[in-house]
This record gives sequence, structure tokens and C-alpha cells, in this order.
Amino acid sequence: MTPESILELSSAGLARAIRAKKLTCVAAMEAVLARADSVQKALNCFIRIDRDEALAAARLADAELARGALRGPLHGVPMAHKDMYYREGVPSSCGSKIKRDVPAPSTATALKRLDAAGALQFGVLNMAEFAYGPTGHNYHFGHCRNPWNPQHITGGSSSGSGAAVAARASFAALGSDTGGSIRGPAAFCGLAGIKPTWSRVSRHGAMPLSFSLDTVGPLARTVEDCALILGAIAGADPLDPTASTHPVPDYIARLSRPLKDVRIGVAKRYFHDGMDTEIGSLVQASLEVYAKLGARIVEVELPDMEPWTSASLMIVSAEAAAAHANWMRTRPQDYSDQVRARLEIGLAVPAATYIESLRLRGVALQAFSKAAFGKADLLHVPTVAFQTPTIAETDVGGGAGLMKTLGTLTRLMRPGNFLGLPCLSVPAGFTKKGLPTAVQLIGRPFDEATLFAAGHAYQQATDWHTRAPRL
Amino acid sequence: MTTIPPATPITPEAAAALIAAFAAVPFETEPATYLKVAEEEAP
Repeated sequence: MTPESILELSSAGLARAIRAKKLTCVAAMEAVLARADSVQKALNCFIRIDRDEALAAARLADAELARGALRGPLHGVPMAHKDMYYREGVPSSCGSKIKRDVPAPSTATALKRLDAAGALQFGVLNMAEFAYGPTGHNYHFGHCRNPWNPQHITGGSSSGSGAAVAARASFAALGSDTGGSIRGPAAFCGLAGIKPTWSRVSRHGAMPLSFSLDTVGPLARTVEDCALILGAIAGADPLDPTASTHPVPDYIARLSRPLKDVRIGVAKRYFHDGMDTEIGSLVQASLEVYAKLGARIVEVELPDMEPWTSASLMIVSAEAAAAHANWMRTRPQDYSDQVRARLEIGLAVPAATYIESLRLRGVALQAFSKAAFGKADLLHVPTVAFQTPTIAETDVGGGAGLMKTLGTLTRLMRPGNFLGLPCLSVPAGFTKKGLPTAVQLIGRPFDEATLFAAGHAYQQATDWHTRAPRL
Repeated sequence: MTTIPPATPITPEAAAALIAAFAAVPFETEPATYLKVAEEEAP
């Protein structure tokens, strides 16, 4: 296979090809390393590339395969990850000046599980400073750029994950999602991205931002890849007491369930407020594909979610401020203006308001589930309601427009975090400017399998996910 | 407490709506109640 044809494969496709001995792990690694080198200047999506270690790991993986030892379903698949997943003894910058040279104390459970599944990490990816920004700006490592048009944002905070995977410079990547940080970059960069149910994936060894809302998940070329990777990393972990013991189903085995009679809920309230006309047409066209596949489209009337979005902002603001309180006292000058401003805002959230916001979650989840899942098996709503802005338009720093800009970017995604529900962002077409947009499928707690089956069926009927940016 | 101080991440109007939403939370509720609900609502 040529390097170009290798890079066109999904993670699942590459793993199958390696198992079938159609190519070697070294060939796959060499192809992705060359691609990473060629796009880095334009996109600034990598913080570090570990070339020699990656090639050595690929040679070892080939040797294992030659003697019949298959590590797991991702054997030989090269991946780079958001630079907030710790590997013992290696610095994880978290996109910050403060942690850029600090060796990590232990290895993240998600990385250990990907290692065990056979994936080969070859580098770390750019991200918003401390994962606290939805645009892809980074004043310490440079802004990350959208491979479909470098003048536009990638979304954040998993900016490098979105850009690198879309640019075919990584087969998949871990991101994290506290207020849309997987789904935003997935939508803006034309990828699938799963924010799993809160507690579905261990956060051990992942940089904390807001422990009540943080989730770990992949961005990948296809829904099948997301299912494969989530299956590898999900599940209980003695190192993370919050990781759920809820059983992890075989997502791949359930991927091809037919959509016939699956009830897809459409909620106009909140999710369609101020919708851009062109984005709205693409969202509607996506829904019609699901209907053609046999899904039953039903309208659902959701409760008022504005207070829940406010509550999620209270929670993330207070928890992030607490996590950063020591550095805010001792090294405030080492934060960018925007992150420092947001952390200062968090210091002003009253303790009682923070706790009331947490207490509201259960009540809200009950109300939402009754309204949404009483009638539907999943919801079909836009991931974002607007055209992808430029880097310049969203360069608001720590100034007056900060919270309004950030609020607009994350508005449709925050309810998923507050409710802790699984949300799968699936590419839904391109605007006239050639930039991707997406729909998010929202499911019951721990029902990622239904979202994967629906998203996979959609991708079998469409080709948005096969298109690659020209770089 | 009837108000949320102004130096918070939300607007005064949003703060008023949030306070109203808090009124629906039963007195006995604690944050971990959320986990129980999530398990109950799982398929």
C-alpha cells in the first residue's frame, strides 16, 4: 500500500489491514509521521512527536505479529493524544506554561488500555491551556488551525486532536469533554467524537478541570472507530473511584443493528434557537437520512435547559478555580489572560450556589429523561448552531466579550455535560465555505451502543466522513 | 440567599432563572443523588 492509501484508512480499517498482513506497523507509522511533519507548520496541531520511540514500538509490534501475538483490536494503529494524558516520567504540558516541563507522576488508565489494545502513541497534541477554552487558541504553544481552512478555529479544547485526525496526521486521538471539548473540535474539523456518559471512562492520569463534568473520549474518522476505541478504554478502574462499574457492552458487535423503528427525537426548543439557516438545512438533511434508514422521527418537548447551562458554568467555574487555587496564588502571571480571567470568575462563585448546582443535576436528569426518552431512544440535535468562526473573530482574550463568546460556542453542548449523558457528534455535511458541521446524538445514560449504531448506519449512507481536507 | 453575586460566569437574568430552578430541588437531595438517577435511567 502507498502512504497515501494507508492514510485514507480508518483506525478500524488500518487494524484490519495490519492483521491481514496487507501492510506493516512500521509502514503505517512511517506514513503518519511523514504526514504529521508535512502538516505541522500549517496547523500547529502537535506539541511533541516521538519519532524514534514510535518507530521502535512499531518494529516491536511487527515482530509480535510475526510470531502470532496480537495485542488487541488496535494492534499497530498510530495515535497521538491531547497533551493532558499522563505517561509516567514524561511531561504533559496540558497546553500550559506551568506544566510544560513537569514529569507526570503516573500513566493515565486510558493510555494503558490503549497500549494494551495495541495502539501505538507517537506524539502529543496541542490543546487549549488547561483544557479551559472552546476555540483552539493557545498563547503558550501557538493557536491550532483548522485543516479545512487555517483561518478558522478548530474548536477546543481538544484542538490538536481535531486538527491532526482530520488532516490524516493521526488515525485517532483522545480528547476530553467538560463543556463540549470533544464534540466542538469534532464538529468543526469533520470528525466523529464521543463524549461518553460521565464516569464511563476512568479519569486517572488525565488532567482534571472539573471533576463533576470531565469525560474522556476519542475523536476519530468514523463512528466505528469511536466505538472501537471507547470499547478499549471504558470500564471500572480501581485507580479512579468515580469510574462506573456499569457493564461495558461490546460496541462493535452492536454496531450493525438496523435503525428500523428506532425512535429519534427532535427537540426544537433550545437546540434550534438562533440557528444559522445553512446549518439548519444540513441538520434537517441529516435527519431525513435517518428517516430513510427506517428510524421513526418524533418530536419531543424538552424542559427549560437554560438554568442547567448556567448550573454547569457554576460547577466548572468553581471546580476549576479550586483545582488551580494554589497556582493562582503563587503563579498567576504564568496563565494566559483568558484562563486567568475565567479562574478569577470561578473564585467568585458562592459555595452554596456551587452545591445547589450539583444538587440540581439529579432532578434535571430525571426531568430530561422523562421528556426525551419517554418518547425517543435518542435525540438528534445540532452540535453547533452557527458557521465556524475565524481565529481572529474569537480572539477575545480575557476581555469583556469573553463569557458571551465562550457561552455561544458551547451552548448546545453544555447540557450533555451537566446531565452526564452520552453525546456522539457525527459529521453532517459542509457549508458553502467548505467547512464541516455536525449533529450530536444524545442517548440515555450508559447507552453509547445505541448512538454508535445510529451514527454508523448514517455513515454507511453518507460520505461526509470520507472527505479529507486538501493541505 | 436571594441573589447570586454579579462576578459570576452568568448574567443577572440567567442567575434569576437558576435560582428559580433550584426551588425544584427537594430538601433531602445531595449531589450523589445524580449517580442513582443515572443508573435508574440507563437502559
